[in-house]
Amino acid sequence: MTAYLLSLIIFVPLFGALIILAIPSAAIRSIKYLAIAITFLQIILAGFIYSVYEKGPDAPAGVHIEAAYQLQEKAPWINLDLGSLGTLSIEYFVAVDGISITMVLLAAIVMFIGAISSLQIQVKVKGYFFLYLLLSGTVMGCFLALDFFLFYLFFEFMLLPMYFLIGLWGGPRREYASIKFFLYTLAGSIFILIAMISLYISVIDPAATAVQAGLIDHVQEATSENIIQLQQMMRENKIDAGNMVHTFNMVSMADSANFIPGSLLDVLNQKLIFGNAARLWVFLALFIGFAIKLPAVPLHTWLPDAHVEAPTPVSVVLAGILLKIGAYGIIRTAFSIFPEGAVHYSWLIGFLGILSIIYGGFNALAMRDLKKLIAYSSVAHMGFVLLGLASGTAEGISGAIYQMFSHGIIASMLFLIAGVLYERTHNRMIEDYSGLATKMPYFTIVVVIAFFASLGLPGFSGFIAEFLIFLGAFNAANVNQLLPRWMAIVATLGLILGAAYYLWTLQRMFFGKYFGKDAAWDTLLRDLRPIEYVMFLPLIILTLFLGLFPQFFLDLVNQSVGQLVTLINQTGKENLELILRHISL
Amino acid sequence: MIFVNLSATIAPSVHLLFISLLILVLPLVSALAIVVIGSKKVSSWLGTMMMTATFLLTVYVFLKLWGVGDLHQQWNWFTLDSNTYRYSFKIGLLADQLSLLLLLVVSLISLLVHLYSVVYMKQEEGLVRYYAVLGFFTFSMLGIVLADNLLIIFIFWELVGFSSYLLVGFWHKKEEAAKAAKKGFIINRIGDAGFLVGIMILWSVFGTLDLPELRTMMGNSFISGGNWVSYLPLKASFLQIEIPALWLTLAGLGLFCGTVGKSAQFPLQIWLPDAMQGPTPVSALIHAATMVAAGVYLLARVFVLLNTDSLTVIAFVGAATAFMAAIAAVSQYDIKKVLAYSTISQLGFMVMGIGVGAYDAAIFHLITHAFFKACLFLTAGSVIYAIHRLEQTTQEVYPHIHWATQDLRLMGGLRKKLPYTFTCFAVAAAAIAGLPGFSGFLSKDAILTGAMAWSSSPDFTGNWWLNLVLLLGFAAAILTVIYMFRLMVLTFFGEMRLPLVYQVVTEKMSALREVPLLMLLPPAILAACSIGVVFSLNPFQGAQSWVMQGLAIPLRKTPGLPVSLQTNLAIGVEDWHSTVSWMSIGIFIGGLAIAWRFYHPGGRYASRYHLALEPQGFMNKLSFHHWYLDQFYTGILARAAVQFALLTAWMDQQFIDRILHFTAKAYVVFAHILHWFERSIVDGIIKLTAYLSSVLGRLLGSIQGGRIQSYFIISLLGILLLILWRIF
Repeated sequence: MTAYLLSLIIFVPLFGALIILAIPSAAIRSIKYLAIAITFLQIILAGFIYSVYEKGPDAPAGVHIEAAYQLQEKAPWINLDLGSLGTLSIEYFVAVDGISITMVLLAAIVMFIGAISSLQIQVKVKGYFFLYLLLSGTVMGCFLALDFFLFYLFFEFMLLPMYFLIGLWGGPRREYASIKFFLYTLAGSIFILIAMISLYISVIDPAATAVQAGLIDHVQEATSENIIQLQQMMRENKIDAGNMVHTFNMVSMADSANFIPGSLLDVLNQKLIFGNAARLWVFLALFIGFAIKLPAVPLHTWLPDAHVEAPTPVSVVLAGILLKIGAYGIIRTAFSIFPEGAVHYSWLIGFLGILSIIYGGFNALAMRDLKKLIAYSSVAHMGFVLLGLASGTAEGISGAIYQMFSHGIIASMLFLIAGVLYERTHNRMIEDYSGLATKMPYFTIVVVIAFFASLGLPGFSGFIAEFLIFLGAFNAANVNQLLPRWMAIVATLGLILGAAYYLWTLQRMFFGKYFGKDAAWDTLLRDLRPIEYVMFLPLIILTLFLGLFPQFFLDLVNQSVGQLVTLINQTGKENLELILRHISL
Repeated sequence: MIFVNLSATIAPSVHLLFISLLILVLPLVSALAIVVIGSKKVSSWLGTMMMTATFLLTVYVFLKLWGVGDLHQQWNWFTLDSNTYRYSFKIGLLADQLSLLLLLVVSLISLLVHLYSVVYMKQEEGLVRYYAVLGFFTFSMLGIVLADNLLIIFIFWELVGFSSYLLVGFWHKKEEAAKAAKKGFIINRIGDAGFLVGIMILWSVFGTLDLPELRTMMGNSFISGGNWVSYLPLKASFLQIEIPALWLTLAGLGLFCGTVGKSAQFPLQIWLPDAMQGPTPVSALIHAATMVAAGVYLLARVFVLLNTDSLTVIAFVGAATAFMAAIAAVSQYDIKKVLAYSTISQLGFMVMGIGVGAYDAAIFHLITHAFFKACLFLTAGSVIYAIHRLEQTTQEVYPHIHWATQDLRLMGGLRKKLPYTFTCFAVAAAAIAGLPGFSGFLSKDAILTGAMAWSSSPDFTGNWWLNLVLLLGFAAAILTVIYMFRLMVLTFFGEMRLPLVYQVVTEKMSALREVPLLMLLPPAILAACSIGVVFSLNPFQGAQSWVMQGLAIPLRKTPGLPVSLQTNLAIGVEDWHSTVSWMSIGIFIGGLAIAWRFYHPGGRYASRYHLALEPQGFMNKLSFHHWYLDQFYTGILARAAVQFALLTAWMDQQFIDRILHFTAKAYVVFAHILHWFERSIVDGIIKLTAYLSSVLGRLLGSIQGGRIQSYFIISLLGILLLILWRIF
């Protein structure tokens, strides 16, 4: 059972999507319940993954060590012998480490909540749920794939359903929003594609190459001595180019010994492109590609439009999961493959982080549409992720991953809140409401909880995340000199802005005497329905649980974060020294 | 949870530990139970009973530990752990002498406020919410008091802010209440951001937030060559941390920012007067006695980590706040506003006390102030309650009549109608004004003595400007007598001015009567606690009170401290003691004389006060508008922030998106060009190749005669051609 767990969680929803295609479109109820059942099955599978995942201080933790990934599934997929160009190898390679497992759990939970919220979809139900399940499977694939090609495939296939979900089921300006979304992410994809191809031509799979070179008979026999021997031989140019097996394996990419000497991305490559080392350029390409998804200011303007036009469940998935793929991609590719980039560009990344925090916060303050406000608050909160990652410290990176999970939960709640209002009145303008607490007291309680969770009140998960990020960002100046101290201090402005825009909204919309722009709203604005409690309660419990018992989460990520920190601070600094030495020559 | 260590100075006692935890948790349980049960009737009594239990347990722990020793226990909360580092974040319970005192004060006043609210809040719709949040507040406040590290303090610190938000905005339908709640939280957040910076600095230098550990490590750190140096223990070695010495001061000031927010110090004091929008018992508990004093408590907790520069800033800020707010308290119309400004002023005294190193005196004043100020607020609540009852009775006949129940212009002469309430008020007023024999005299005198010793310490010779602190402190003390006298006269003496404005009320005056017994008891207890003997048998010697005797001033450990400072301060306190006592008595008499001159009962001011308009003249306006601070913030800063927010929104649409749209348009134009190219040139080539291949196919077909093969070959050729076209 455990052998194919990861494939199951990816392909069960894809299979479900096919079943939905077979159901007649009139059978709306069965389509909806099937989709909910499948996303629930995904939660169960994620729970299984969690339970068999080895935790604790000595557990294998992945990141840049292939053997340390858990629940590995690896099969050759496409092998092309290109003669003197070596062999092209694409594998079906999925596995989890401490970073991806948290994202898998998050995706399963948010997808399920989103599916419940999708019950309100009335038109083109079949197509909607087909795309929704397609999205669900590809999102999982994104978090689990360790072959860059496979990852890229899932990444692109995830954007497609998203485009249609916004473009077909969205609000009045849905076409504009969906095309904007598509073009932005396409631009990001091109950057990632360039990075992927340049990685492909530079990196070999040591085990497979050893087979080709005749060192061993079979890939499975490869020991670490074999691999070191092969890498040594390659350094000495003893491997024929035709015997090299070029790979898309991300973990192989993370070891600089697997780069072909003299190739574009070799650490010792002395060639400069526009005055900068190729490795640093490719780092930037990956970073920008994923920063669009994150989104980081100034590459964020697709987000508010996409959110405003998207139907509620799509917003939930977009904020809850898709933004995390941006951050995940930065960790998994940019930071792990080019740790020197994380060192060299830490200032830039940290600066974009605080820019997002503050610029996003101010924008949220100016918004009159509740959903836009929440969208900009997402920009601000994802800025914290960037700041934490840029610090390269244990606290900062742990906090960043914590924030990814926490924001996934809290942002889902926030978009559901906007959805509750929109569903009743088809109006989200803040100034059109007042005194909702009188009309909808229980809804107001949920709103207060979600707003305070989002502004980082202790007791909720966001506090732990942001607190760790602050400690890490400030500590970086002492530990690894990656960030100046003022950045963490300036970022605290984000805390004040968060309080300002949320509490101002509470005061304007929920407190004071009741007022609704339309007299008809009097009857429309009813308090929460049972199904809405079903969506809110698990999220509230989860954010409280993670706010009170952080160890539960940290047990999963601690070892992986430790490896990433070492990777950045040791390998990253060593590589950077080599690269910069060439540049100065 | 993992058992870490038992570093208590007394023999570790499991049952005391258990009881201490119970004290912390009971109010939370109470809050949850009230929410779950959800009944108005049950909530007030359940809350009060749970608080009674909490208070009794507190008394028990206090008696067991006061003067005996400290209780300290830590558990692991979460750890960032890997092969190269290990950062532990702990949860710890520390009941030392300081926290014992605060525990007693918080639980007693919380109990009395619970009890008082049973009648005062009886009519309220949101009674369940009220008692639930009150319980939650008590839990959070006790959490601050019992926490042993800065992270946990910060957590509870924010939680009391949250409960304050909920309680100030209790009447959420009232626009002003909602605004005041928002303002209070945001301004506190500004302070908290600074607090967080302080925490970040200490974390980066010492790698821990644990207060006892910080104390040791601060003692081991030193200043060398303009840098602040410390050694961080790693898993196997030490890491030397060196950062510019300025950060030592900034760390202290960062922590102080937390105090500035929560204890309403200059320049963030503007939220407290607005917070009076909350129910009056809440004002008594949160915005007078406990939460706002948490800032002073925090300073006491981190006292050993503060260096001389930050303490000097603290002393100045405290003195300035005390003076500014005392000026504002002289001219307010609203009875609660007077008390609010008076609270700010007294908090300023405490902060100044910490700043001048009079740690024990500041804490002593915190405690005496908690009692007399809570008493003043509760009795003010009784006055409001009585006048509100009169309003309701009047409205039975004249439904159109409304008046402001908190307006001093309509009060006066209530002494005869509310004799017990008046007595309690008078005792508390005597205490705050510093009448010898009452608690306030003892503690204020102790702070002023400390300030005197500080400004005249040989360590500061030549720094004449330190005397400014002293000057502001004494001025604030005189003003205290003046505004309290004015408040007393306007509320309780002379004749009631309400009938002068609304003649019809005269016939209903019998409805104005003393409040129920349940509302008299809590202020009576608080008034009793404001009498000097409760604290010290010697009516002129605060230093001989059991509070100050039981609190030892902790030795400060910050590097770069003059060695002699602490002993010099102690000597100074001895030397100046009797002089300052005489001066304090002089202040009281002088203040009284001035106040009598202006405000005496039956005088022009008091008897015509119902006609008073907005104050005229620069000084009066400055006082009434509290130095125009609020106008500055809301009118200039807040507006600038919103304008800037609009600017960013504009930038998003007009700048970033415009570039995007331009790119998109360029893209479309390019696509059209491409389209033309493809249709006219590429398509032509493809058509040509298709034609050629079909010709070729026919040729081949005629050669081999097999149809399937020919199709196969034709398509293969087509694909090959396509691939070739793609590649080249």
